[in-house]
Amino acid sequence: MRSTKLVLLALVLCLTLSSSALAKVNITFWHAMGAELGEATEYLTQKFNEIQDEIEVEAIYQGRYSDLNTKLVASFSAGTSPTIAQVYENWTDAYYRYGVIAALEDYMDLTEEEYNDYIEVFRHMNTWDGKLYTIPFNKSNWVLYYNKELIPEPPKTLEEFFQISKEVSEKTNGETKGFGIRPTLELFHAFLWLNGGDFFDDDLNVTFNSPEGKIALQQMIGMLEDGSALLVDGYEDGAFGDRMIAMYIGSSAGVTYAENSVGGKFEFSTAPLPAGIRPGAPFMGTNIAMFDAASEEEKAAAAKFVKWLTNAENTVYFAIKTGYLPVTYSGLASQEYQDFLEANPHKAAIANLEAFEYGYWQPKIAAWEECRGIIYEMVTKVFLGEDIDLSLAEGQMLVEEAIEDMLSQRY
Amino acid sequence: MLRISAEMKTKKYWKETFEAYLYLLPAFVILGMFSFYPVVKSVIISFHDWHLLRKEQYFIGFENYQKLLNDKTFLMAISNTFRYVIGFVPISICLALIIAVLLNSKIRFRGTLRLAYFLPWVTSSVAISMVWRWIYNQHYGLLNMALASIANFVNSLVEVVTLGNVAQIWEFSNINWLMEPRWTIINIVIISVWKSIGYYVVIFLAGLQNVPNDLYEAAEVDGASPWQSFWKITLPLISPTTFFISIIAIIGAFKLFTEIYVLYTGNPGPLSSGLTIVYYVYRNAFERYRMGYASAAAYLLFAIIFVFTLIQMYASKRRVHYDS
Amino acid sequence: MARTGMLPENQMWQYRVRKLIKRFLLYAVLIGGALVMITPFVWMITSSLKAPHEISLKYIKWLPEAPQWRNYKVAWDAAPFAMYFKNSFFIAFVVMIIEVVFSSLAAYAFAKMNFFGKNVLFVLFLGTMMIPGEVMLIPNYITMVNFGWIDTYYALIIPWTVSVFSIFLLRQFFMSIPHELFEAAILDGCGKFKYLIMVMLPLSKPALVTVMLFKFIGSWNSFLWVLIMTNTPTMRTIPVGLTYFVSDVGTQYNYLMAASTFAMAPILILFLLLQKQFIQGVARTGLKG
Repeated sequence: MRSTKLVLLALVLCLTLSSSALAKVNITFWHAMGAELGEATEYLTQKFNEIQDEIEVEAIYQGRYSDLNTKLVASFSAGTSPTIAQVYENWTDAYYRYGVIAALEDYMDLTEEEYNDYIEVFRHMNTWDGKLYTIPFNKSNWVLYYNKELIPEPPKTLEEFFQISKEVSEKTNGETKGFGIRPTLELFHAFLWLNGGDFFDDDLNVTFNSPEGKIALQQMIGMLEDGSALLVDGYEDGAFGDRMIAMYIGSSAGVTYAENSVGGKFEFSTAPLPAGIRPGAPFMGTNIAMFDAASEEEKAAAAKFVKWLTNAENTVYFAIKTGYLPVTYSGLASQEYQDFLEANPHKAAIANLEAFEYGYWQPKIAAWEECRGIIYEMVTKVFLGEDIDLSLAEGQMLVEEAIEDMLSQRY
Repeated sequence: MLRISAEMKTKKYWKETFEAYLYLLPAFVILGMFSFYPVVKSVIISFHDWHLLRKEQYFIGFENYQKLLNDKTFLMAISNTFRYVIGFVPISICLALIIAVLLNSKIRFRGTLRLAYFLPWVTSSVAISMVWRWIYNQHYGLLNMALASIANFVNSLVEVVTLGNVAQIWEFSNINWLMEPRWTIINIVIISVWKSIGYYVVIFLAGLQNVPNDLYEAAEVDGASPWQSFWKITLPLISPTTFFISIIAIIGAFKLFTEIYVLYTGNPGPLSSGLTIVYYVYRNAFERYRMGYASAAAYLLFAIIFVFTLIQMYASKRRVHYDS
Repeated sequence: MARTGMLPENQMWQYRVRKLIKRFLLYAVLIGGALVMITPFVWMITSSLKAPHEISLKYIKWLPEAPQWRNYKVAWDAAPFAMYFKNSFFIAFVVMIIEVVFSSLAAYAFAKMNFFGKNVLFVLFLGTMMIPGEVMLIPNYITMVNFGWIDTYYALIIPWTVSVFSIFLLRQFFMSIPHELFEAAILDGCGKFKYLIMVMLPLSKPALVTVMLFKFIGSWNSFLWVLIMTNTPTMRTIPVGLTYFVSDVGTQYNYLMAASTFAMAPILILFLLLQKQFIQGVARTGLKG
C-alpha cells in the first residue's frame, strides 16, 4: 500500500515538474564574444531569461570566430547545431545555399515600422531572397583614427588626406609618418571604393581589374614611396600609440585598443573616411542566424529573443558597453546613445549618421573567404613590387574561378 | 616469413600471441574507437564529393585524388611542407642532441639550464606568437636590431683591421621578415626549433641515462678523446632514442599547421608561402566545407609520411642497437 | 685522473689549462643558448606587468615603469579561471595516470613478446599519428554525440588515455633492456607481468617520467578538442580562457601575457619536481656485468 502511494506521488511530481519544464522552451545561442563583449552578451541574455518565463536562452561562448566556425561545421554533421549563432555574411550565404538556416524574418512578426527601424545598410547586408535571413548584431564601421596633436582638423577629401600625410612626415622628419598601411584587403577595398570602384557588380562580375583598381593600388604604393606612409605589420593601434603614424583606418570596435595603446600620451579622435570621387563608410561585423534544424517552437522562441535583443534599449546597452553600433535608427537616435557620444567626442565618427547613407560592405558570397585570400595576395604582390596590371589581371582570373566553383555547387 | 610459419606451429607462439593481445587490449579498444574508426570513415569520405553543408553526398571514386594531383595550390603546399621538413628536422635533432650531451655532463646549474631549454615547449603558443611577431618586426623588432648591431660590430672590426681601407663590408638594412615570402619557412623553422628543442632534449636525456658511466671511464683510461667516445659509445647506445626522435620529428614536421596559423594570424603567410598540406586540409574542410577533398589531401599526406617512415625503419635495422 | 698523475709538471699545467678552456666553452655555449631560449619568455613575463601603452613597439623597453600587478587580477577575473584550473588539473592528472598504465602494457608487448601480426600492428599504430587530426575531428565529434559524451569528462579523458607516441617511446626503452635478463627471469619462473612491474618499469623510470610529463602538458594545453566537445563553462579548461583576450580587432596583450604566465606555472612546478627523476633514473651500470 505504502509503496503504491509513493509511486503515485512520484508520478504526480514527475508530471508537474515535466509539464512546467515543457512549458519553457530552451534555446542555445553560440557566440564568439569574449571578455567585456561576452559579459555584455551574457548580461542581456540573463536579463531576457528573467523578464519572461516562457523561454530560457543559454548563451555559450565558443572561442574566437574561427573556433566558432569549426564548431558550427562539426555540429551540422552531427545534427547538433544550436538554435542561433553569430555568423558572418559569407557563412550565411553558404548556409543559405544549402538550406542550413531559416529566415529569421519569417518568425519575427516585424511591423513595417520595426522592419524599417533596422539601419538600411544592415538590412542590405542581411537580406537574401528579399528577406532578412539574419539579424544584425555586433556591427562596426571603419573610420579614420587621427592624432589630434599633429592633425588638428581631419582630412575631408582624399586630396587633403594625401597632403596632410605628406606634411606630417615632412614636419617630423619621418619620425612620425602620416599614415599606416597594411596590405590588407580592407584597405584596398577602401581606396577602391573611394575611387568609385568595387570588387564585383550586381551579377558577380569582377570589377576590380579596372582603372579604379589600378588607381587604388597606385595611391597606396605611392604613399609608401614618397614616405608619407609607413608599412605596418600587426595591429595599427600600437604604431599609432607610439607616434610612428599619425593616422590609420581601423574598426570602430577597436577604439578601446587605441585608447589603451595611446595611454593618454596625446589626444586622438576619429573621423569618417576622406571622400574621393564618392564618400564611403565600410561596415563589418556579424549577425545572428537561426538554424533550420530547430523545431518550430524553438524557432519562434529564438525569433522573440533576437527581436528583444535588438530593440532600442538593448542595442544601445550593447553598443555602449562594447563599442559596436546600435543596429536600429531608434537606438542610434536614443537620448542615451546621443549622451554617450557627446561624452566621448573621439567616438563621434563611429555613429556618424551620414556615414550610414554611403555605407558599403564586403561581398556576401560563400566563396568570399577564398576570394579575399586571392585579393589579399594580389595586393601583397603589388607591395612586393610586381606589376600592377599583371597582378590585377591574375587576381581577376583566380577570383572568377572561385566564383565559378561556388556557382557550380560541386567542390 | 618462413621462420614465422615454422613458429606458427608451436603452441608457445600462440600462447604468447594471446598474451600479447591481452596487453594490447586497452590500447586497441581506445585507438579503435578514436583513431581507426575515424580513419576508416574519412578514407570513405575521401572517395566522395562530400560537402559538409549538403545532406546527400556523391561517390566519385578517385576523382578527389586526381584533382589534387593537378591542383597547383596543393602542389605548392607539398613543396612548402617539404622545405620546412628539410629545414626543421636535421637542425632540431642535431641541436637537441648536442645540448642534451652537454647538459648530461657534470656541471653546475644543470637543473636551471634544463628548465631554460624546456620553457618554450610549455608556453602558450598564442601568447608567444605575439612575442615572435614583435621579434620579427621590420622597424623595431629584436632580430633586426640584433643583426644591425652585429653588422656594425663586424664593420668597425674590419675597418680597424684594414686601417680604414675597407669601410662597409656588410651593409645591413632592416629585413621585412613577415612580409617577404622568402623568409616565411625560415621564420617558422626558427620558431619551431626554438619551441621543440627542449622537448627533444628531454627525450635524449632520458635516453642518455641508459648509457653506463663506466663505459666512458673505461674509454678515458684507454685514452679515447671525448669526441671519440661520443661517436663510439654515446651515439650507438642512444640509437633507439635517436631513431624514435627522428620518426616523431618527421611525422610532426609534415603535419605543420598551427605555428603558421598563429604567427600569421589566420593567414598562410605572404603569397601563401606558408601554406602547408595540413593548412590546405583545414582550409578545405572548415572554410570551404569540402570534406571529401580535404580528406583526400590528408591521405596523400599520409602516404608521403608513411613512405618516409618505412624508409627510416628499413634504414634503421642495421644502425639501431637495442640490446648492447 | 689516473693519467694525470703520471704526467710531467709542464704537461700537467697544459692539461689543466686545456680543461679550463673546455669548461669555459661548455658553459658559454650552454648559457648563451639558454639566454636565447628564454628571451621571448622574459619579454612575455615583463609585458604581463606593463600598462597597455607600455607594450612599446618603437623602443625596446624591457621593464615596466611601475609593475602593474593588477593585470594578474584583471586577467584572473576575466574568465572563470579557478574552475578552469580545477578542470585542467583533474583531466590532465587522470589522463596522465591511465595513459602511462595503458602505454606500458602495450609497449611491453611490442618490446618483449613475439606474437602474430606484431610488425603490422606496430606500423598500424604508428600510422594513426600520420593522419592530421583535422580530418578526424568531425567523425570523432559524431562518435561523442552518439555516445552521449558531449559535455562530460569522458569525452575529455578517454580518447586521450592511449597515445602511440608514448607506446613507441616506452617500447624503445624496454627494448634496450638486455633480453637475456628477461629470458633468465622467465626461466626462473617469474611471470611476465611480474617482470614488467618488478624489473622493466623501475629500470625505465626516466622514460616513464618523460611520458607522463609530456602527457600532462599535452592535456593541459589542449584547446580545440575541449572547445568542440563541451558546451558549458563548467567543463572547460585553461586554454579556452586564454582566447578571451584575443579578438578580431585587437588583443589585450598585457592580460594575455599575465594569463599565459599563470597558466604555465603549474607545469613549471611539475617539471621541477620531476626533473630529478628523469635524470637520476636507476643507473644502468650494475646491469651490465
